[in-house]
Amino acid sequence: VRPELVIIPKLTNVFAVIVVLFILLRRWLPQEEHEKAQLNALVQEQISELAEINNKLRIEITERKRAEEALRRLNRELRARSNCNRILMQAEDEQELLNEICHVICDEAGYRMTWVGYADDDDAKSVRPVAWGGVEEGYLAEANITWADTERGRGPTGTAVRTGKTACFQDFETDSKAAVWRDKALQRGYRSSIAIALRDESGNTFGVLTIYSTESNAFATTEEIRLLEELAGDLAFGITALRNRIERKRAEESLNHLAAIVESSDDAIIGKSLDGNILSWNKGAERLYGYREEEVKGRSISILIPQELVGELSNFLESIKNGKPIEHYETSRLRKDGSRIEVSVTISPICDSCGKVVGASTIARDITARKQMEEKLRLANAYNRSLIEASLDPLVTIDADGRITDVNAATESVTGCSRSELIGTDFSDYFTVPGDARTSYRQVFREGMVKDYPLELKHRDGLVTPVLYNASVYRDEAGDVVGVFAAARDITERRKAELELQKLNEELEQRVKERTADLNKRSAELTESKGALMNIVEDLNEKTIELEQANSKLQELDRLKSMFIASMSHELRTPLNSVIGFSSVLLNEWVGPINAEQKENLAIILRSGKHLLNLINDVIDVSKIEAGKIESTPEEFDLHDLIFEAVSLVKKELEEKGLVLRVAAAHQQMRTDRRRLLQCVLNLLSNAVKFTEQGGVTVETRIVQVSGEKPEACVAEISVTDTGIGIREEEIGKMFQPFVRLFSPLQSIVPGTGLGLYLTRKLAAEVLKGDIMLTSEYGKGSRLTLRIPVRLP
Amino acid sequence: MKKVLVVEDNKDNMRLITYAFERSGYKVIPAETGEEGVELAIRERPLFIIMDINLPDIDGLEATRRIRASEADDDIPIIAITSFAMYGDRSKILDAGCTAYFEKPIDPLTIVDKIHLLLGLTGNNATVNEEQ
Repeated sequence: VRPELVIIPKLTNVFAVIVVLFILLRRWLPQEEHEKAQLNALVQEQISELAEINNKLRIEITERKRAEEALRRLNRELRARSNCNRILMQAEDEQELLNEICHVICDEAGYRMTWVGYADDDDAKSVRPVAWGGVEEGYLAEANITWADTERGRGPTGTAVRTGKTACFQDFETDSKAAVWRDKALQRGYRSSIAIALRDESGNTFGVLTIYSTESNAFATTEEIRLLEELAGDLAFGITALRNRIERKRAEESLNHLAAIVESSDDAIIGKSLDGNILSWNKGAERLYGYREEEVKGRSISILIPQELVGELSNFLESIKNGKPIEHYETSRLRKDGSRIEVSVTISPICDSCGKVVGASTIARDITARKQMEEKLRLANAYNRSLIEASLDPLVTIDADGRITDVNAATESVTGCSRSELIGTDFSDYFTVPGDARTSYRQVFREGMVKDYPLELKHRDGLVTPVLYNASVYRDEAGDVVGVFAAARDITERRKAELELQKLNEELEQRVKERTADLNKRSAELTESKGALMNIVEDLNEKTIELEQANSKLQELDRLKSMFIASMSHELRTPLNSVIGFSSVLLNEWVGPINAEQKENLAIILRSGKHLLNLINDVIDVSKIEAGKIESTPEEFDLHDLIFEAVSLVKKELEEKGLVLRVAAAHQQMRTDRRRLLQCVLNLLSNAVKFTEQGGVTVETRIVQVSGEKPEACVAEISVTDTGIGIREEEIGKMFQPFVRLFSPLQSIVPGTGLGLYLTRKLAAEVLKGDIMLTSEYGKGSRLTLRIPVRLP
Repeated sequence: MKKVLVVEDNKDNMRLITYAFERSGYKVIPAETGEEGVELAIRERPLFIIMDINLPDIDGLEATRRIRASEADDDIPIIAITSFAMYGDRSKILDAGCTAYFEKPIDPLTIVDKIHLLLGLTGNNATVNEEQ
């Protein structure tokens, strides 16, 4: 730049103006017209000259300014490029790299917007924006740029991708190809744009760098374009280098990963050269063969191969050299300690990058345990097979089509065909009626089994064997039906026996028939009588049930009745005691003298009261016994004392009647219910006194040893004999029934409850566990004997 | 005068027993409840006690136990009068401390003699010979 060049014309210009002003000033001065005209022309000439100079200067200034601007821009672009290169060197992530480049280009070089697009190989041939910087404001999303040769592909970006050559819009306002993007570009301040292809190492375009400027014709100079193209070249190189770097890193990682897998594998993994030398040896190999890596590296793989199998190695190597892998080859190998192991070997060729076989990898797996299992299984199978073969029944397996899949020896002998002849043929062919055989195995498939299906097997010589077939489906591990297992049982002998039996049966049947006819006749007669009897029995049964029901009802009623009487009588007694008590008090004149008639009346009240009391007491006792409410309460006492106590209670009556009393009582220790025994004895005595008018009453006791029982199991016999009216023989039975009073001349005058003997016998039986006997002679007297155990348990 | 304590809630019986004992020269001290009987037994020191078992408040057994437990007790005879229904409970009666028992009904003509016989008392003799 030369500033003086600018200043000098400016001074000239000032000078000219001064001259003009001078001339103009002169015009106002009084001068000649001519002079005026000349001067005017001169001034005009000068003015136009100056104008021309001025114009030239203006153009010059504009161009200089432009040059200056271009220079400044180039400077900025250079700075941007150097920044870009710095970024490219340091980049580790492609997206980050692209973002930064776009920002730097906008920030450093002062462009409006910069973006990077990748050319997609899709149907639309779209240019996919991957990074941008500057004022984008959604432009790229709406721009729909493609690299196809269409309207939207003919802009700089599309063109650059398609042709690989740099392309520009010098002015969005005027460029006809920019029409589709014009409004949106101008809105965002884009006036011009440039697109530069991004190429990989092989020179193929993979993307594009597009830059927008706010000025028109911003990308006009070759210098500038060259700089931007270099920048794009650096960017493409940077991207490719970054991708390679990442790819290498990934490959390394994956290699390490593979190495780790190999190392940790349970299988032995061995690398070897084509002449069989060991190159690598993993932990699995150490474990399997017992050698450490450093012991075997470089040595021949043949150290692992048993003497007799050495030939395998050359075969394997030959195959590998031809690129053929060996898969799951089962063989034996030697361990370091000399023991043999069973292994499954897979050998694969190792190729270099050009596909040439350079070595082999061996993967060996220990299958010793599996081999042993297989051997065991084989033995088990052989054993099972021998069982099947040993069976005397023909056994066959059939597939779903009815074809024989397996047979045993018995089948061979019954058909006369060998195993190999039988297998694969139709099962039903070996029977006299093939249709039946087919029906039978179809039934098995349908129902799962058949039992005792009768068929006839046919020998090739024509001999027929009757059999019963038992068959069922068998399944594979998944539970699907695989076929039918059928076992035939030869029933020739059985059938013979059956025929004989049948003959015998027929004979028997005939005889039975004859006998049956005979019997039927008699049976019919019997049936008739039986029917009649049955009717009677039925009637009886019905009646019995009715009676039983009635009986239990009655029993219940009877029990209720007894309970009612017992409790009611008890209530009656209390007032009755007062009646008796106060009659006695009055009768004995405790409260004052009474006359003879009053005395007689009171005596009747007293006697009636006592009678009623006796009656009530007896009723209570009877009711209690009948209701099952009475219990014996045993105590120890002397029988002699008890007899005398009872006697003392009737002494007064005896004396009044003038009867003679004789007592012969033994001293005998008893253990029984004293109170009840006293009651019984007293009853007997009272009875005797009541029915005896002359003579006397005798009381005797006797202890009787019961034969065959223990010594202490004695019975006390207490008998009361009177010389009273006696009882007719036929009436003796009635004596112990309740409320029975025999017709007698004394009946109307002798007081009695009619319960005395009944109650006495009840007490003797239920409480004292003994009994009572009556002997009597009518008109001469009676004897009642009580027999009770001396000791109650 | 000889005193007899009669514990009896039935007025008719009380009257009857009173006739019987007064006739034999006893002064009858009546008690209608068990508690009253206990109180009078301690205070009046009768020659003996006639004790009904069925009483409205505490029963005769409890009254007997209380009398026996009191300091005033000098083994005074207690004769229980039992109803027919109580027959099975005689061991209870003796365990409670009664000297003897009679079953109802009471015969006014013989009751006093029976008790005299039982307790070994004769005529107007007031000494008590206990049954062992």
